[in-house]
Amino acid sequence: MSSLFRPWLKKLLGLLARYPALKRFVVNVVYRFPALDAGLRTVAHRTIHPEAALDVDATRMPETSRRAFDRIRARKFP
Amino acid sequence: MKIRIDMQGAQTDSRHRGIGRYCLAVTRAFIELARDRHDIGLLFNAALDGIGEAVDTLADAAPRISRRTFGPVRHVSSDNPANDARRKAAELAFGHALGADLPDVVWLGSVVEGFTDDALVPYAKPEAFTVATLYDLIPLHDPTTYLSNAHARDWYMRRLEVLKRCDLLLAISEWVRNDAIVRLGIDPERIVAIGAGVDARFAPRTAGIDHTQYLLGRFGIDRRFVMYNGGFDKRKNVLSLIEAFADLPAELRAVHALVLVGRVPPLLAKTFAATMVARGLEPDDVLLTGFVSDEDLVRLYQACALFAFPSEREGFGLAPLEAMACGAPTIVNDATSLPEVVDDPEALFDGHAPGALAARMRTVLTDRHLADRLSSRGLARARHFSWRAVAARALSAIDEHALGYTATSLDGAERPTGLPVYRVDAGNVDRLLPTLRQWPGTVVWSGPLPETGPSLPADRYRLGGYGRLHVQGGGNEWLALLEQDAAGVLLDDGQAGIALDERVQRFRVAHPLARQRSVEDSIAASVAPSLTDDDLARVADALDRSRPTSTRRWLVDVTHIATRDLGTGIHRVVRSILREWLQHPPEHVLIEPIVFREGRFHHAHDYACALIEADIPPNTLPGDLVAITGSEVYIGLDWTMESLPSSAPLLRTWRWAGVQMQFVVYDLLPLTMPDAFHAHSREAFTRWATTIASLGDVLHCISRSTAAEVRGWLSENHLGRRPEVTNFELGADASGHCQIGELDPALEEAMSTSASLLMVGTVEPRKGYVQVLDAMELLWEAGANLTFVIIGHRGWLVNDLTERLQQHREKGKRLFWLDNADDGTLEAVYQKSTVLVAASRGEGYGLPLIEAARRGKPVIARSLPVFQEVAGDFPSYFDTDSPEGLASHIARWLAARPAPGPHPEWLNWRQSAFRLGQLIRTRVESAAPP
Repeated sequence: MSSLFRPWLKKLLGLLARYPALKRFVVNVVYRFPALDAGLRTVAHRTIHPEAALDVDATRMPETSRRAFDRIRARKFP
Repeated sequence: MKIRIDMQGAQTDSRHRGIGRYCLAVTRAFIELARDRHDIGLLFNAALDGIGEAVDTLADAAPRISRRTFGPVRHVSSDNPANDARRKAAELAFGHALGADLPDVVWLGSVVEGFTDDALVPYAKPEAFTVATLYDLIPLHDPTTYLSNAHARDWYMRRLEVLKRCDLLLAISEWVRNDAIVRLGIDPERIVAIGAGVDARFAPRTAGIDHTQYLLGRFGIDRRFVMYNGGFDKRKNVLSLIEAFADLPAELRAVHALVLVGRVPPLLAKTFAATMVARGLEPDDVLLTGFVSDEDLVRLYQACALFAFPSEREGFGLAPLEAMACGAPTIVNDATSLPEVVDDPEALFDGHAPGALAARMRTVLTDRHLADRLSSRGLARARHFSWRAVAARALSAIDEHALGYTATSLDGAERPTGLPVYRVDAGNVDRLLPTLRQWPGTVVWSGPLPETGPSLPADRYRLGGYGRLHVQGGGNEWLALLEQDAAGVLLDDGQAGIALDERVQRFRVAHPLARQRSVEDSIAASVAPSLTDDDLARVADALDRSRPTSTRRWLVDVTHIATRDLGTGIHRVVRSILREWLQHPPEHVLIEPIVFREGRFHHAHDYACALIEADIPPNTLPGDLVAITGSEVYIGLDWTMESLPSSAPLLRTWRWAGVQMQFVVYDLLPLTMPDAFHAHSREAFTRWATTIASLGDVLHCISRSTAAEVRGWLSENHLGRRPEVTNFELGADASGHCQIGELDPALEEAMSTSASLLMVGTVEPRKGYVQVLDAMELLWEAGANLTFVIIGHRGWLVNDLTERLQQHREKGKRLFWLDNADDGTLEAVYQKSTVLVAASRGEGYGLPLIEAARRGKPVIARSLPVFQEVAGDFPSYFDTDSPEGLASHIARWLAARPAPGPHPEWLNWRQSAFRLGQLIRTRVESAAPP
């Protein structure tokens, strides 16, 4: 999903979560159209849970790996 | 001996060819043969495909074999000079990973990978006794074809250097062994021919079975056929086979086709077509099958009139051996290893002699007796080639050569000269810890230990997880804490300085962290400046996660409940079990709740602290992203239907890395009662169930009934490896632990003046609310003075019911629906109610029945097997779908008020969490190396 739309969709889903009656209304309308229901729910789930990232990168890595990274970059014990 | 096998030969594109088959088959046989005598472990490369297939293939042979993955570090192939620095860093780290747990033997399954893929070899020979499989040296025989490209030549020569440095080579044939002695100057003492084997599934056709119709339908083969199977590079000489086929007499060609099995590159297919036209062959004379499954391959071998293998150079010749094992008359080129495989002069032809192949084909196709002779001799010869015999030769060679081996070289990285030594005492330990954590070194403790242990929450967490956050330990805890980050901790017991120095030196050579530091120094000094931050991050991560760990961590997925506790039955179970585990973790286990967020798993510190009411400020506890080493257990305790589609690819890599995957299954209701759920829920649930079946090692069900349903579903729907299915019992809260809330006056009044029936649970179709409401209306019409109370959130597919409830004439008088009741209200209603009605048509367990019983309330329940399992004879069961039947049952019960019958012993949550913990631990231990 485009990262451009994700923040907006997250806000929309947050809004629906805050107003259960509104959410129930939307659900009651949408579930009558199974294909639309499935599509919207898939989009919603992907918005909340984006695709897994299988590789680490320099901005997101476990703490102990980060220390190894810093040591290699620093080269020498200070 | 501790033997570690590099499995990359079964991962690269080689897995579709002979090397991949060989690597897997010999590993499997070796494990079967040696697992009781040796500690065998497998190392896969996470940057390459094929791990899942290999793991599944080896699953039954290697139930207690450890496996790990390295990386992933991608874009390291040798065909691109831009990868050079990245590859060198990765190779340094890979060499470290191979020797990380100090094996006695490292076996490199195939070193001739990595030119166009991300396979790695260790940068230098590992310290352990190093063995490599040698498949052939064919590129040296035909350098024009294989080594004309400078990059390819350099890569191949470097790989030959890796081979030369090995302590023992296992050649796949005598021809390869002799070739290596001559061309590489390998000491004959250091190279052993172990041969190759043929899998038992390659066997002659069973009498009475005819593949003719199947092959016609599957491949369009409509007549007898000559078959070839294998690669299509130049040395395979397949073009000459087509030409020889064209040279057969017309009457023979008219009744035979030539079938070429395997992937033919598109360009070569055009060359084949042009040759066919030039030699007067019709399009249906030569059939190209493309890739075929092993089952089809066996059928083709069994059915062919002749298997012809014109290859000019082979390291062994697995395809002709497979054909012989299937009873196919087989002829091969009299070249390289092939005569050694067939061992039959009548099966040979001279590939260099014009017309020899066509003549041999003609003879076999027209001489029935010769074909029979080739077939029976081939069968007899094939029996000499078993993978078990190959593994036995390999094991014998390793046993003989590795015995008494002493390391003569280090792992290519210089030992760190600057590894610091920390002089620590009670006065400076807390000050030195952060520095030690960043720059590991050897700790020498002087003087007495402090009277109390560390007090910082992060330190306490490191010592034993959440359960130790508020436990003040003794001074020894400082040593335990130091050991986590130090390359060895020594107590300065006043011995002479030299003795202490020797002990420090020993740590510097052998401690895993010291070894890791030496590789870090090598990378820092050589290629690090050429690497981007992201590249270096991947190398550092791969390196750090290679370090063996003795900590047992259970990673409990709480993705959904940590985001929003819905208060459902499932979330009550998750909360209750996790709370028990956090406060009373299974022995020697660190419980770590994790959440999947932004594509990665993170520690759920805040959620865990809130659950056990630990007053810890946010961001106090260490680490955010979860790092796995392969020794962990993942526990899908929460129902992760929404997040699993996104997290499954990551979890799959965890499983490949050795993480045990265990899921809790609450029910299969969307599959067994599809009408009670939205279409989307059914589909999503099916996806979830299919995913956990393919990912999971064990599925823990919350009842025997659910376990039986899961087993049935798996046997009907799930192909391939099936997870083990177990069951455990849930706990229930003891009564009276919760404060009793106040009730609405109308409800209080109604419940005080009449008998009241209570239903607890989400208002959704399967719960049976409609039937009970219908029955209540009949009873009300008959003049019964009864109150009906429903406590449960509004669910799905109940618009009609909710409208009926909201507009009911008895609403607020004798009918009450509390759709947002808190625990106190629930407790108050339980206290005042006469009986709980459990009318659900399907459940995974039956928690409300136990909770009612524990509060001294009788139960009227539908006669479901799961209710009978959970509640025994305690409830009064009804077995009717009609409102009249139920109304009559309720009326009879109210008149008689029978005492509840006996029930099974019910657990509390601590006992339930303990039992689930035991099940998990048992499965982990049964899969761990002995």
